Amino acid sequence: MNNPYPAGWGRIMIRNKLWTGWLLCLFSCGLLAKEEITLVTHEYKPYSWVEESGDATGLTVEIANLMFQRANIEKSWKFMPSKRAYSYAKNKPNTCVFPLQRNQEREADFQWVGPIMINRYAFYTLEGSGIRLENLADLKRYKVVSYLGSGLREYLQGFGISTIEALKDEVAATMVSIGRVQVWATDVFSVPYTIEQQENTFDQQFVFFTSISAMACHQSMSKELIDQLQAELTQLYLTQEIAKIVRRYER
Amino acid sequence: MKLRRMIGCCLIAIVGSVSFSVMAADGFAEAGISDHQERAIEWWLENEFTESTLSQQAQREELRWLARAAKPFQGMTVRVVSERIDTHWYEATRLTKAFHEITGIKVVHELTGEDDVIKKISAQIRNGMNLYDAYINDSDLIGTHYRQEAVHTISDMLLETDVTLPTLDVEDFIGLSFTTGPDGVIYQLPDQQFANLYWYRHDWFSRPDLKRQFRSIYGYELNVPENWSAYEDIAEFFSEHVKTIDGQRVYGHMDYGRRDPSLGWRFSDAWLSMAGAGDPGIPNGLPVDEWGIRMKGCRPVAVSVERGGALDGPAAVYALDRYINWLERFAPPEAKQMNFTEAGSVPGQGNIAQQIFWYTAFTAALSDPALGLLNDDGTTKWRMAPSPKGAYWQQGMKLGYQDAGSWTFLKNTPTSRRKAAWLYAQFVVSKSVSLKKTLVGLTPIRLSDIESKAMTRMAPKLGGLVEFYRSPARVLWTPTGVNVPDYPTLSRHWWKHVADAIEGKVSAQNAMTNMAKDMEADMKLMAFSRSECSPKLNVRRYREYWLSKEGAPKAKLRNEKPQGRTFSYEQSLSSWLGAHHDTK
Repeated sequence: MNNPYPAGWGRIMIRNKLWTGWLLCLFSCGLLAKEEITLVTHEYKPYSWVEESGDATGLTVEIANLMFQRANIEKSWKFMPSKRAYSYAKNKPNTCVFPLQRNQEREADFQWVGPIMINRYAFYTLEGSGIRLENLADLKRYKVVSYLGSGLREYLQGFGISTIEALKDEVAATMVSIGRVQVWATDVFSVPYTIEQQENTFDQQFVFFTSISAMACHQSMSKELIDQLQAELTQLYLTQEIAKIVRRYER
Repeated sequence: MKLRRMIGCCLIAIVGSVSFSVMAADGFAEAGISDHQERAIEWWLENEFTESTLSQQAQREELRWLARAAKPFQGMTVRVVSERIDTHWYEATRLTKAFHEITGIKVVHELTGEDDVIKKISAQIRNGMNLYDAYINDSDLIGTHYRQEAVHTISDMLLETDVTLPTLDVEDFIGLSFTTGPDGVIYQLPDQQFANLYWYRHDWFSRPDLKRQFRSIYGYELNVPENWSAYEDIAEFFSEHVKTIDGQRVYGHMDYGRRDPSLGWRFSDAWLSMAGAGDPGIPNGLPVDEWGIRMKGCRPVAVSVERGGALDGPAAVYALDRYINWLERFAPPEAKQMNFTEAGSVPGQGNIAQQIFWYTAFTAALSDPALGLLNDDGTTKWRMAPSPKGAYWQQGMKLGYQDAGSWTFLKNTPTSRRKAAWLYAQFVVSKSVSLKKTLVGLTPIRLSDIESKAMTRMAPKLGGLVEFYRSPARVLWTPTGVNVPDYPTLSRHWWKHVADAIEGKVSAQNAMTNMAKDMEADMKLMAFSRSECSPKLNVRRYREYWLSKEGAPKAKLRNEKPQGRTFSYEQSLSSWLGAHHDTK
């Protein structure tokens, strides 16, 4: 699989540099108001989880921490199941949920800052199952499981592929292990973490979808604040900070 | 966990390339392809690509050429993305398999929403990520690609003879003018095309009792509407007078109104051009186009009426006002909460009499016998015809929209990956494959396919599609043009402001004025590498200054609902044939 974060990640057009620089200057001069934001996420390694100390940690948590720290905006963390996190951020001002797959159906519900992550999704089967999948048409004969809130069920159902949802990705993997379903649809980057406790091994069949994950903020949040966070995020890409964080979580 | 598949793939790739060399040395050195590939070519010719404008021998030679050209890229997996329509499903699930077996290059062809395709290509351009090796991106972005210079152009690819099919025949592509910039450079290569046309239930419109009833109320014939007044009368007739047919509640209009990116396409594609908001001139209207953008050379200079644009002019407001009025009065109640995907299947349920703006990409879906919309002889109970024109429309103006999903390659894609993806792109549009693909997805791209005997055989069962594509009208239904300097940035305003008006938050006039302001604010910040074509806005003047001048922005008409006019289906087809002459 080709890496979407090449060495040339930091290249960007001149107009974007100027725009970013102008915004950052504006913010550093304190011309725009700052508000405290609640960040809502769910436990999903390696992206976000709560350590024994009670601190939030993980790949996307680190990205958010850097982004908010550089923007000098106060924030607090809330962990909750992904479906609840979505509706919580949709309905509560000064709240953002992330990482969230940005798609057409969700576009109108939020204001967006991204990309936080580029996710690749693949189908996995139990090793030795004899199943061979090459494209989506091959899936129609099998039962597929994905995890709740991933957005994969909605995506696959659009092609007539029946998909059930597990509350957690670990549960989805277990359902394949015990033979309740044959195919597991999941995020490639997280698989080594998800199957840590599994005794079985899995075969990756093929990567079927790429998504842009973003931070989705309540509609009432000021455009200036969204622009500020976007400018800081872009800067993190330009300076290779995000590529460094991603590499630390690779397995 | 052992990710055996990934390691396995690498091993297969290595072993595969070694065994290929051995086989080539054993007896296929001259042809440069393995016996496995030869067998694959024969299998696909016999079992899939049975309809082609080429002879089977010519097909065989073309596929062999692709197999040989792919040799340096065997074992590679390339990634491409497109929107989600029948044609692309066929490519993603069937043609990728054929291409892999013939060339040894694996293709992951992802399908997603059109809005997502645009976000992804924008992300790759902006941040330099190699998200995909090729995009099937609507030619609506031609103005963006022409100015940004981030695209590795098709004109350049055609010079790469090691990977460009000698039999590609680019002149055969009917949509090439849509993907060519003002500089004569071909930026994208069409993969599929579909138009927006008027759709109606020919069987209902032909019923003597309904014809009599319509004439007694409106004083003219129930037939294909020529103008919006007739469309409105027919919509009212079915929704408020006829109400039920064979015991089923029927409606005279169908559209959608949910706050969603797809709401914007309706408007940015053609709604304002059908209303007549811009100026005459093909492809998009000059100096003011169907987005209301005024041009000076290749430079956008206005969007609002105050600067000489037409986005918030009387014709645009009329267009939005009719849209809302018809949606509320004549469409099924649930339509207001639907998006493009949800609304697309509704005419197939058999309770819609007509639709002013219907994408021919749904032809295959609506020809499904299970829907009950076919006659006993397999012909359709419905027909497609030219969309009716609004009160501001003038002779010589754009007549409708055409979507031309086109292969697009970015400069920041690694060369070998781009070349491998280019081979796949050429395979799915090659003459060996394209006629079969056209018969499956009904989104034709090649003149040779349109004029084929196979299409003649199919014509009676396609409700007017073949007649449309065989007429000069096929280039008068045009995509968004080069005037729109940054499609991803500007197109996001349409659905938000239109939704504000549909939800009753602002008036139609305010919605259009707010949108014009937002677009101009964006344009002020735009600076492209092709700087002479960057926007430079006119100074603001009183609206009356521009409205009193000839052309767009046009002053408000005293009567926006002239007498309704209709014509027969046969006459409507003739209007396609005469379309070219009309616009001269």
